[in-house]
Amino acid sequence: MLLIGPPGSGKTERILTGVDRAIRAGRGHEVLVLVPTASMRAHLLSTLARRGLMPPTSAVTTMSEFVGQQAPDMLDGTPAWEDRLLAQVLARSASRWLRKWAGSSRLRGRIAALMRELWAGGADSYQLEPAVRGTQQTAFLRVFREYEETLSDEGRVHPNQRIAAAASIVRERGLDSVRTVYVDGFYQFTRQQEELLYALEEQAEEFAIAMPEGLAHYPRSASQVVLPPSLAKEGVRREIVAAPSPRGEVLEVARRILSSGRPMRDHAVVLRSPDRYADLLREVFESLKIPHRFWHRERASSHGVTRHFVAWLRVIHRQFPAEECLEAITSPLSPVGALAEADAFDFAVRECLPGSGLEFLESNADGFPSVAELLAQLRPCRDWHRKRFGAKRWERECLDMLDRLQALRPPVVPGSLRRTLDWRGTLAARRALRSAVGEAVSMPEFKGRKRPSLAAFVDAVEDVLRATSVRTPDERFDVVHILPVGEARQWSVPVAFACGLADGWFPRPRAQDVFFADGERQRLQALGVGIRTSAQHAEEERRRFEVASSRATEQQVLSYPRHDDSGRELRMSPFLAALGEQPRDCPPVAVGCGRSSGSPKRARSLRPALLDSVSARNASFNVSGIRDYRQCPYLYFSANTLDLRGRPPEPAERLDGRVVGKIVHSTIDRWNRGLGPIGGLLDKAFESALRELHLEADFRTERIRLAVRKDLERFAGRPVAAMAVPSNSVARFEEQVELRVGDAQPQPRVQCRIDRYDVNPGRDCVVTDYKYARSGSVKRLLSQNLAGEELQLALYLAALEQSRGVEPAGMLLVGLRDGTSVAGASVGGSGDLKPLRRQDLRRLLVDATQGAGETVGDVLRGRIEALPRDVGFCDRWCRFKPVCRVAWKGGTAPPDDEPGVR
Amino acid sequence: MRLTEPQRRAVQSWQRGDICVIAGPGSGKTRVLVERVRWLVLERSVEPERILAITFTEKAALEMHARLVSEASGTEGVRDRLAAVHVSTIDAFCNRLLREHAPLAGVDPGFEMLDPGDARKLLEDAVGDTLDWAFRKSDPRLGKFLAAYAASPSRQRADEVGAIQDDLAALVAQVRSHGRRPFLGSPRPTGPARELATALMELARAKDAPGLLATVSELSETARLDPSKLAPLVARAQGEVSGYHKRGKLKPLVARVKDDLLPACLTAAASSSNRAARAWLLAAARRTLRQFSAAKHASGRMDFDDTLAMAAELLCSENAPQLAYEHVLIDEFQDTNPLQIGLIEGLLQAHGPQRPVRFVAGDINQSIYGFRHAVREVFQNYRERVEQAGGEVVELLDNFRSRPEILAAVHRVLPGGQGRGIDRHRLQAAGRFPPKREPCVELLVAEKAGPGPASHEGTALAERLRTLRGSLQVADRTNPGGARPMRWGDAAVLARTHATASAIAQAFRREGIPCVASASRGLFAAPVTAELAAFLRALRNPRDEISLAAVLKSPFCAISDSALLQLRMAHQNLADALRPDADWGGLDPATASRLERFRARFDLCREDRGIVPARQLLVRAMADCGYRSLLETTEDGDMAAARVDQMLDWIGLQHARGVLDLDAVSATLDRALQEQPPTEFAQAASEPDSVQVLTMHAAKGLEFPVVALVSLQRRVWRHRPGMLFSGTHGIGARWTSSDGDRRPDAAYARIDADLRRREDHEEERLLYVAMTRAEEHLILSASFAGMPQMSGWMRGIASGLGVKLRSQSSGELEDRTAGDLRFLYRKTTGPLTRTAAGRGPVPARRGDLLRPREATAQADYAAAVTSVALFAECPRKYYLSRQLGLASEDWGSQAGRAHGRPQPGAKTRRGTPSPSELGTQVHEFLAGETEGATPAVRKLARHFDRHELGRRAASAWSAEREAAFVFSIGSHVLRGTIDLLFEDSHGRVLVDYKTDRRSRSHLDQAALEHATQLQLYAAGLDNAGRAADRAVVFYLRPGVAVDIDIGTAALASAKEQVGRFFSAQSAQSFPLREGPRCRHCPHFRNACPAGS
Ligand code: SF4
Repeated sequence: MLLIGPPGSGKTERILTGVDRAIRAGRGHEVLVLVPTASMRAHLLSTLARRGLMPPTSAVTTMSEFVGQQAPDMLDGTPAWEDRLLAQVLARSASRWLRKWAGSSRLRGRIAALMRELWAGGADSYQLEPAVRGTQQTAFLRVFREYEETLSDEGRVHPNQRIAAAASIVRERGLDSVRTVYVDGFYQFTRQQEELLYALEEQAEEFAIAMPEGLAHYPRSASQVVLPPSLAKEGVRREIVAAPSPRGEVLEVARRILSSGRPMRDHAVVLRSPDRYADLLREVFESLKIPHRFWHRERASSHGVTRHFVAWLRVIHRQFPAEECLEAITSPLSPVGALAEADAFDFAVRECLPGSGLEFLESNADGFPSVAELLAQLRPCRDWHRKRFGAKRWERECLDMLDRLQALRPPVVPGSLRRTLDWRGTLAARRALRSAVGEAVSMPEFKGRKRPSLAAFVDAVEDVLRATSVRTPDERFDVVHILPVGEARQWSVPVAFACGLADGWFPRPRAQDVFFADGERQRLQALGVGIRTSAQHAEEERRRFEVASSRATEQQVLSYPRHDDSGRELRMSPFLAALGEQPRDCPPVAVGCGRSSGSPKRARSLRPALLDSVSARNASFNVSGIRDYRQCPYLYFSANTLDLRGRPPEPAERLDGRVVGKIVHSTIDRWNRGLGPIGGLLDKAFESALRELHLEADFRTERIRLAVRKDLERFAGRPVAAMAVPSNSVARFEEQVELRVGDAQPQPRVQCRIDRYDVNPGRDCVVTDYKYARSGSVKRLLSQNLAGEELQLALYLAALEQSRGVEPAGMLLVGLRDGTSVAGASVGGSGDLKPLRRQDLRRLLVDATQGAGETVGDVLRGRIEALPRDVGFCDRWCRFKPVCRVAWKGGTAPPDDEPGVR
Repeated sequence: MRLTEPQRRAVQSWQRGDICVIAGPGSGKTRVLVERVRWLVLERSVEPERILAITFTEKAALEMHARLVSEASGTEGVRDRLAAVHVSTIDAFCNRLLREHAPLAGVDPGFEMLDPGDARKLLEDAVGDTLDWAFRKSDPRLGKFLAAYAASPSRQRADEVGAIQDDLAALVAQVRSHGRRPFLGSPRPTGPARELATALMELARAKDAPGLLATVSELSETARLDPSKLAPLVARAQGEVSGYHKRGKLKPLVARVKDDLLPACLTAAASSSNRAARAWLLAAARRTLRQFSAAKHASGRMDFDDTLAMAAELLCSENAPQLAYEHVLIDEFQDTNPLQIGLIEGLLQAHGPQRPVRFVAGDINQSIYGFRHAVREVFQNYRERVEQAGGEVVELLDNFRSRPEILAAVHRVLPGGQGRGIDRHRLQAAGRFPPKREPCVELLVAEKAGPGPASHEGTALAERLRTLRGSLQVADRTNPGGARPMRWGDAAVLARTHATASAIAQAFRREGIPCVASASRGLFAAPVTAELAAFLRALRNPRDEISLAAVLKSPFCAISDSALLQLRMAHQNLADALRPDADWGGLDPATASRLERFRARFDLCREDRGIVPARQLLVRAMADCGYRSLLETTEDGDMAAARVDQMLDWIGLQHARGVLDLDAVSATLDRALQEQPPTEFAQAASEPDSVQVLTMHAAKGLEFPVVALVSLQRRVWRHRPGMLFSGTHGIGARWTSSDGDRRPDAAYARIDADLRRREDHEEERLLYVAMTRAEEHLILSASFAGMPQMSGWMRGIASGLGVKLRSQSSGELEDRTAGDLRFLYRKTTGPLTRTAAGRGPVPARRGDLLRPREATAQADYAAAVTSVALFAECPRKYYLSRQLGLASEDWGSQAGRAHGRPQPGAKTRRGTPSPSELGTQVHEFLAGETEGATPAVRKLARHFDRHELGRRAASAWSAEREAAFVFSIGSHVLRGTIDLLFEDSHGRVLVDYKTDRRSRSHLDQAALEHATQLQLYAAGLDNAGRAADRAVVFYLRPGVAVDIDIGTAALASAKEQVGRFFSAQSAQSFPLREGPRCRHCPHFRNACPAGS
């Protein structure tokens, strides 16, 4: 009998009634209901149980289970195995193009899909042969033929063959105790499935098959019952909603769920492509604490557990590149990942990067016992990258690695359900991983006595993982169910949502097949080859849409986003448009918050009780510290008092301006002391700096060295000092002088490191500072010094006066970058020095000393306000911006800087 | 609306030749295209599949398609036919072509498109690789190059080394857009040294300058012997002629020397003295290009340029697929670049002799995509060719969009003409608008800025728009001829750059004007983003103290600076303060408890980071600490909350691209924070009536009743890298000479000059496009900080409108005229005070906030009977085995090593089954699976067969063995497998076999443990109306049957047990029940704390 009716017209109900009757009559074991999915099976069984029955679980079976029971010893390949086999066949193909792309999983996927489609339509390569024309089709035919042959040489069958075999077994052996067969939940059948159904129909005493109207392609229908659309469906309210974006859609769903006042289980969300929405739904539902359950499977390869493991194997194969290795070691999945030691090790090694090799890591592992132990465990794998073991041996080694390198840390104390679910996911992934490693062994390319390399074996494992999907076990009931269309068939809930009904998403566009474009497909169909045309595909999509849009018994919400995640405009799906209703815009909502957080406050100063600590941490001051404080007290606080350190800089960033400045200064100092020509001195200084920074010379360092060298040679070639300083003076270099400032007791000291000063017999003194900077910035700096905005040179002079008893007479800045430039001022002026009045200089010195005194006093008084003098500085240079929270409202307004525009 | 005559001519041209439509702004071009397609399909019965319409943007394609379908009056059939017309962008067309003809093109039909970010990353890697390679090889030319190349650091990259890499990458990108084998230039350019020598000689003679004479002779000597040493001599000559003026009879000669020859020779000298460096550069560009292609090939991905080039190649090759279009329509032809032109040519050729009719629409004055290498001359040439070939050229000059006053303003500001960016044009106002007395054009100038010019200007503009909203009437589309008051949604603000657009949007928000900014740089400059990035960094490694401190101070924990200092004082590293043994002495109790909560959350996040994606981690952390509550209360909270969503979306995009690990996400984010790429986002919530803020480029093809063009005074600062490429001149670069000067070489100088001219012209066209977006009201707005540094635009506007920007002004709107154009002018000085700006109410929150639900209990809806039994035995054991699903296999050999003893359940020795395996085998055997059973199994089974129960079962009326059932108890569904259920004359008996090793004396105790299971089966049978009379646990080893109480009371208590079971699930509470059994438990001393 053929039961035909639109979704929700009660076909399933009719079948359940039949089963019910049989069980009540004690003939439960005589019924068999065939369904497409395991979840439908569970659903039917529990429906029966809820009616007070005790149905045997064998009464409802999925088609593939049934086939498995009938033909248990026919082996079909796993997806990954088949894919590998196809890759081998393609690599041997006569077509250059196919050979070229044999490695492309996307091409293989398409070819495999085409072969499956042909098989499902009942065609094998022999049936296809007469219909084929043109080079491409012939090339495909050859691949198809060879694939089939290889498959049977390997003693395997494809799934359709298995179904066909099951059909003949049913015909031969009958159905044991089963007398009644029902088939429910299918939309279409492959040729082989049809065969099986015919066989069942012949053997069973009673046979009924339920199908949606319209399609109902079951050629041998003896009798037919057409069910009218149920009256209940009439009462369903349907709404079409447009949201600005997928997020807007999901928020709308959440809004309706939260305000519906119904139990969670009354809601379902149906999706065509769960991938597109899963993360978003998870995110929003989790923030709003809406319990939900996903019914789709996820790829094993994207779970953290499998990625971590594969990462380890890759690390071994690539001979322990340090950065990747660090990531694996510090992962919370690694045996040491939970220890603070691992973090410390991470940074310790990063200071010394670049590096590679187990030895490199080991050499840095002093003082990190657990890490050292882990590294010792890795020793035996040091030469695996060139080893060729048998696949079995690799399996053993890999599983052993898994146990050693991935710690299992289940929550010891039951906590939240969320953690329990996470943990189940982890376990599922771990098991998938174990079996993937096992499955990899049987990959076709490892057949015989082949001895693969580690890389080849890992590739195989990864392929298997990509082809494996896992589902986190979850049997909660009072949750919002999130269903892919394929799973949604047997569901109906009071309130159902269908999301993502945008053009291009639903119907999913289908690319033209490269071998059989649509025209060719029509030709093949006319020749009797079972292959589907795009019109048929479109029809299937329409049917899916019907399922997706008819799951509700009370309220059905259909929605689409006007833009995708990256802002691209989208239109309504044609299916939705065909309903002819105008969409409604959903009201704007946002995720709120259940509890309130502490609100951060910005302090002006520290608590008085802490001032002792402050002075302990600020025993002495230097000029650049004072400069920092005057830029911003908080900057000083973070950099000096708190002394916060960030991540170790990347190798390419290590040779920064500060380091180059140091190199330049030390070179000039040595040159001044007559230790050799400046170029050679620089090269030496550079080399030792690189060593200290754990850097190897490369084009970056080379560029810098060449530029600095050129600059220093220019400097050496031009006797700057001679014309700039008072005549007859004596020069001193690199001296450390102290300046006492402020009135605190003991009087704080500011350390000044002076590059050079010249004193003439009249004790007139000019102080010189070298900067590795261009002439413009040197000039700017000088005027800042003269204006009292910058205190450096005045403080130097004051310090010299205080401790060396000289008479301050001038200041000079020498810029070394891109040619030597000088800028300076002195009493009377001379050469490059601007004239300066003595009393002005004196004033500068007094002000600077006093300013420094105040600054030091402020530091010690605990003033730490985030009050930048130059807001541009915060954006461009300050590392502490997230700490000081200056960018937040209530502080200084964010700077209105506009890059790209002048 | 009826078609005008020229429009009709364009639509209904039916001839074999090409049709070229010059369509000015607002001339109904899209309409003409749509009408033409309709006409072809409906009137001329052209098969829709034979029509290809190419648009410039995806958006335009969508719109055209939508209009084709929606304006189709008539039957469904007509609509379907029109929907079958192929409308797409060039890129989408190539993409489809290549996929469908993958074998011919030799590509992977499933090739992936490389997104621009990834492409850039690959290119940068290729550059780095080339530089490394040259260094490793110690190529001496590399040293020369590194020493001589004059990089100019950009704003994003302060360091020069980085700039070199960026420049090289940019160069290679330019080279790539010129097809497959472009001319890169020759390594040895020469300059007019001889001409210079001759001219200088003449000059020296005329001036009688012996010094110069000496230089000249040296110069000509060197030019002959060693041109690479020319540089210092040319420089010397330059110094010597610097005193000569372009006056008197020597004027032409001096001018020639100074303006032409010397610069040319200097650049040539720069080229030749850097010959080695230049040679290296050319080689490096070539190698980088190769590396880049190889990298793309390896990943099986292509970028847009690749698909274009390959599609063009496919179409021109001998095995090109035969295409069958009869009509090809191309929109915005002025913006196509050479690669695209090549493709279109190929497309036409691929039709063999039956060439399709080409219908091209464009407007040379609207070509604004030079930065995408569009060449506007192409359109010019095309038009001429069409004319020569006798095709149809139609000019659409009627403008239906704008009021005549606006068009008049366009004519005044941009008259166009020879040597300008814009051709002379005549825009004829043809639209109909309600009459209006006030002027439609206004110029607002704001002088002296507040915190930043743009925000100041934004304030002034906001005030103006607010006034207009109260007074301006615009045409009512729904009521032809009528008018209605302006709404916010009628207005658009167009800015030259993304940065200005975001600044204006920010100012609008401050002023309470609802606005939507489509793209912005804002995400990565927002403080929330920085904060969340710090959180991720701290999760990666908390020893990053800066990030950890940021997190501690943020709403995640919110401790004070003083507390921070205390923690820092007490610990080596701030991260140590979060260790369990950390010393928090001295912290006040409130802070300590906050920190305690934070530590717990943070630890969980740290633990989860291995398996939970970054996006989810952030969401959880934020939800747990109520992060969003802070955003709700702050003034900018709305914006910040939207940023949080954008950030999560952005991370989602990264996840979708395969960046899953926390480390990788955090690194990508840090990079984005540094580079600040603009990001496009859909708004999370729709804003029905709001001002649109967008860039002028993005406004192309759009129209708005009210348009404000802002920051017109700004001159665009173009970062010009030190290397450039053009198809004609090859590669040029700037070099540092020995005296530290930066000098372009000859090619660079030429390319640079070309670029400047092109860019200036394009700027004019951009203003043209922007101004013509306005329908009824146009506001031109500018602001100056201090001395006006005017852009070309502002100069044109000032002179076109006859306004003296520097002269004093009243600060009020003045009614002015320029010719017969009336316009309003206002110049404000100093920041507008808030009251003067008439600050509106702070906008209401954009929407309701959804509050999280109260958590409710949750339990599974179904369970196995054995689970309930396990729970009865020990809830914790149930939790570990079933809730978590932990089995001893999961421990692998780890467990064995940890405890030095084999695990129960694990295989002991090869071949010997473990107790649980043995159990299964016996059960199977007893159920009738007798094949391959071992003697041990048979022996145990015999214990039952020989027992009285066994004998009864063998002769029962009916017996079900190993029967799996489901049944319900209360609202719960239970699953179970009954080992044996038989019925004979004495009644119905339920049997469960056990293979436990228990001594006889302990059996009663054991039976108590096993009772629950049987009682539940009995209850199920009871429900189903098949009540059992007796239930027995049969211990196979001793061969003893123990009866289980299945009286009503016993069954009721078993049912209660089920209730307790499910409520324990809801509460997630599973206490231990320690006992001697524990030693047999697989979790003992593994996951279970018992016994420790
Ligand atoms: S970002 Fe600015 S305010 Fe914050 S610490 Fe740095 S300098 Fe101070």
